[in-house]
Amino acid sequence: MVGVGLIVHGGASRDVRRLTSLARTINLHERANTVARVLAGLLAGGATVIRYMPEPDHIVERALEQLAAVGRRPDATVEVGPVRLAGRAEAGEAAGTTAAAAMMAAERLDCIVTIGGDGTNRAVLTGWRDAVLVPLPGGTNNAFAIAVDPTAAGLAAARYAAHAVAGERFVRRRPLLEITVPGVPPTIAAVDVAVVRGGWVGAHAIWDPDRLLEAIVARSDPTVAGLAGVGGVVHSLDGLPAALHLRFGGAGRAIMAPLGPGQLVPMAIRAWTVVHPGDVVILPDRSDARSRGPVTLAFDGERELVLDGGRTATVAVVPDAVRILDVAALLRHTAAVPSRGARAGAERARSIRSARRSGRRRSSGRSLLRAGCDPR
Amino acid sequence: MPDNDVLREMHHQMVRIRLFEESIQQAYLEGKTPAFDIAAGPVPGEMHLAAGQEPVAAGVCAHLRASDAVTATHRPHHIALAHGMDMKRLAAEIFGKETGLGHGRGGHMHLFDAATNFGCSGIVGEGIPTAVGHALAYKKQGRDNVAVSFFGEGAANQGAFHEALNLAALWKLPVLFVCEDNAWAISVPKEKATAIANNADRAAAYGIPGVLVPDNDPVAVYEVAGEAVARARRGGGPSLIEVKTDRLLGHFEGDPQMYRSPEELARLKDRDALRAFERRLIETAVLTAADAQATWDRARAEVDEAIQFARTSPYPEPAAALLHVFA
Repeated sequence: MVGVGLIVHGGASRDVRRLTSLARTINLHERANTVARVLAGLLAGGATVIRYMPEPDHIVERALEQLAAVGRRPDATVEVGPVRLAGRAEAGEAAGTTAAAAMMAAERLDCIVTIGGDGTNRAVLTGWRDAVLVPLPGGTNNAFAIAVDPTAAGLAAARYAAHAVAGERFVRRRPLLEITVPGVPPTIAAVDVAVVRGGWVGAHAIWDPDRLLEAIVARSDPTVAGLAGVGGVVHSLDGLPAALHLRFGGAGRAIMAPLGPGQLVPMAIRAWTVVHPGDVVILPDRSDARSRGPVTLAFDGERELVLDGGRTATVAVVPDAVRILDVAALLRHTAAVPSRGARAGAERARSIRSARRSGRRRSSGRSLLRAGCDPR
Repeated sequence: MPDNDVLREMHHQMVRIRLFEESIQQAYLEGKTPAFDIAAGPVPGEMHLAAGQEPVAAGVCAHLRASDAVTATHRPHHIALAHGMDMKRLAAEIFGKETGLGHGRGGHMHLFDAATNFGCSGIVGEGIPTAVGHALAYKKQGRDNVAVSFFGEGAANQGAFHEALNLAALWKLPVLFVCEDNAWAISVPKEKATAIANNADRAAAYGIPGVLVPDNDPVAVYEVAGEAVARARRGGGPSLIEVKTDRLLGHFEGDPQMYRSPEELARLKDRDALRAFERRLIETAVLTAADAQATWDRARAEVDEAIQFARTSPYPEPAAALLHVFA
């Protein structure tokens, strides 16, 4: 089996930041198009099992229709289908993404291509911490994702899954943040943990700089928006397996913080420190008067956990926890030596083209309706 | 994030709406059995109640002035009350009495209130272009008012929805389109009627922002609506907000709801947004349990007084049958 998972989520660009910043909207057709391009790469790379997360927008089904429309629908040797979501996990919610990732682990798929925001990737890692990810941008801030062409991503994922290259050689490691709060199951964040003044989850997103008290960022990159970008403006971690603890406000160093897409706001950095593996940070800093009342923790850009009654959280950096496929390096290595799967695929394509030219084979214009898809 | 006064006021609105809907439900069912005769009893006609959808009304209307126009649907009571409609005149109209908003001629789906610039209709999608008209008037008059159209996910498939969004976007009008997605258009589930999963996505087709509020939570609605209203007031144009909300009762009173599973109905009851919000308010000491009880008692008294007013008000005189029905 050359098995790859696909998790794509339409909800990654529908939140309030469409109103509070210049956050983009990715319409369904474009999402489906990205998936179609990933699928083209997966199929060319010889994937034999492609399992995707079912969700209410039916994005993968739409992508398959786009492939069919250009005569590239996967043939019968490739199994493409949704994973079954166990229990009551609702497709389209974070719990569904987590359940889907867990199912992909149980089915022993080799890697997962994700198209979503930082929250989507966090939900995936919550379900399968050791997953090898190919995270494509599909959300508002996309600090976690890698910027590669979707077909290249699919091709690399399939070649990795086909063990065409020696396993870990092209898997890069990144740190993860582990958050522990008494009375609550431990949780993780792949990009950042922020402390927001006020005790309500509300519309989840963070957009008001006056409410931001502190943040711990596991990625600091001035080329992205969001808290990882803010971290990048303050201090570059430069690939160190560490995190940055930022304290905002007061009469600190003034920066132009890329809080959201197109949203550069002046913020003051009271203090910042590097958090190494083994260090433990307590949030919030209750010596700050603004943190004495209820606060809300946001994970990867989404408010999720209210800390009131003086409760605190401990945050630790786990180095080398997240596994990301290095698409560029893998493809450069395999470019000279096509995989068996790709060679067979190319031969099949040549034979189909020649059969069509000689009239022995009509183009496959079978509609998906006749192929047994539910017309909904 | 709303401050404590706003949180308490939203709680108060949601409580009085819930008690009103439950009281109207009881009054409606009087006299209609054994065979379900909708003409019988003190409240004739159909009845569509909004229990469960209080967070949308409370969260949006918290940002509105009485001079902002609001249009709504056949399920209007929660929005009417949250926007400041007089509860006695609302109840009297539902009972068909002369003291009602429409002198008893309109009934529960046709509520028109000049004092709060509120109108609603049983025609699916009617209020959407009407709100655009209000917004056009505000823009021409140079006012910073906004118009808000509340409609359901079924109405979003009507042509009027698409025409209204297009025109509002084209003319950059101060209007909010609020879609209450309660998953059921009468008995038709959304996935059987709508080609996409989220109406928020339709905003992109008109070049306006579309935001999904996936939680039936007044604070989430408050935060999103606040941004949209502020944007409209400063000339930033229209927005579309979609809220996943819960219709706790049937489409109409008397609806046996055979199309909904017992599991779904049980799940709905468990996640009653009003109870969840009240619990959070008490946990965070915004309210004490005694405060919460006092709010229920106050609302109970208000609702009882309104229903009593409606019951004891006179019917319109037959001789006046042709008054108030022609413009």
